[in-house]
Amino acid sequence: MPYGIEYLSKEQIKLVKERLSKGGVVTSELMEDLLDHFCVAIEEEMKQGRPFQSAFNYVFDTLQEDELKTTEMKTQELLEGKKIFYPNLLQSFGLLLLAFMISWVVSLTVQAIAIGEENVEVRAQWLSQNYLLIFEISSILTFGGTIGYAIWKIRRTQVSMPIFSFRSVPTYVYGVLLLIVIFSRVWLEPIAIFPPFFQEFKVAHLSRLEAFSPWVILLLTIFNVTLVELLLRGIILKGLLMTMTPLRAILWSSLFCALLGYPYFASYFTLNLMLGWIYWKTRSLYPTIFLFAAGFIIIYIISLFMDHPKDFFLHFSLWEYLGKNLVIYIPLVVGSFLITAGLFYYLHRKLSPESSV
Amino acid sequence: MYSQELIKGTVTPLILKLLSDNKRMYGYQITQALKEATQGKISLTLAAIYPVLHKLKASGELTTEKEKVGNRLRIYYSLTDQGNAMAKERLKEFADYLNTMKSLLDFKPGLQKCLMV
Repeated sequence: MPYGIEYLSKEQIKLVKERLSKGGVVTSELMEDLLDHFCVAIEEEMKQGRPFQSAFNYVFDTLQEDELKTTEMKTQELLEGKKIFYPNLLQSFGLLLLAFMISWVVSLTVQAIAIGEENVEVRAQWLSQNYLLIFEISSILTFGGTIGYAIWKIRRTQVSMPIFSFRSVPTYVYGVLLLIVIFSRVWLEPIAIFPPFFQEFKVAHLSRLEAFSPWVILLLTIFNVTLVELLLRGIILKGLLMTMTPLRAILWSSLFCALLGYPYFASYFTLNLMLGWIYWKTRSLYPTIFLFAAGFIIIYIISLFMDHPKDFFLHFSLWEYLGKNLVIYIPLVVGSFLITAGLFYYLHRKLSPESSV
Repeated sequence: MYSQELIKGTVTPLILKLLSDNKRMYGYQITQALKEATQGKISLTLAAIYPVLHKLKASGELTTEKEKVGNRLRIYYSLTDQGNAMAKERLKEFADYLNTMKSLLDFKPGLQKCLMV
């Protein structure tokens, strides 16, 4: 062997060991195996005349991305039966609790800042002026924090697979979803009035938004919808579908979203049943984000043609528009519900069983 | 080179075959032996081979001996009696599976008819 080296020196072995540790190798027996493996590989390269550092770089450069970490994870998985982490029901509750806690801490912080102002009127004005900003920061911290934690947990058990499912779906699906959005808007309206004791909160929430331009509210809504989808469908429903029947998984994830979306419990629950079904059927977040966001986009577009876009965007009610006429309203609601059900049946028939695997 | 997806289910029988032909082997030797015997068509990643070796050791099919080589330890793997029996069984099963796959892939008018329907 050139340079008079037969085996790597203790210092060189130390460098290899450090590189393996850095790559994510933890289990002691695996470390012994891989240490010898890489030392032999480096020695083989040195036999061809490469100096140690060049051989070291060459051998580690030939590794696939995250190969060491994957080897460690697979070894642990096979030895300890350790499975890839995706939240089961209990862990989903944990994530939900985490979201509530973050939201609560943000709320307390905002209140603490507001209380700093002694004048009650100035305090109310400050809260009102910064309402959307506070709302958005709270949303980003709540959902972003919870998603970040879940990603961290998942990445500790698997490194190579993408966490979120963004599969492409046939274009016609979006067309059908658009029709579903339009028709479901009609029959979701009477559901949205439940529970009635939160109406005051809803009115207060909407009236605070009146200070802002509809397109700002629209953009932020789409952003928030994406965050909700990443957490609810991308992580929680995906995890629940691994451990329970699709029906139960969809019901539970819808309940979680309904709790997060207070005071719109009933309408959020119903909307989430649809979103959950779409995710289960397509295993993709594109159509669910589309379905969720399109409802707001459609109302925004229609509002542009109205005399008072902001009023329409925030307060439009078909019930009031029709002069509270039950004879017209009830057939419209029932009819739109039946058409929506028909559209779902169409999707059920069209989307092949393979696409739901 | 064959895809890792195709090789995935064959790793255990391949390791068992190598260890039943050789008294004892270490990890790097196993990867090189597979590469050489298959003219480079089978090149296993670390993640394909080492977890399987540790799993087979944990379930009692393999045993290890540590030997000092230069300034480090080398782990040699060999089959236990239980592992020998398992190797015979798994290799028989694997050969049978390959025969079934071969007969499936061979041209047969009946099968072709089925596929055309």
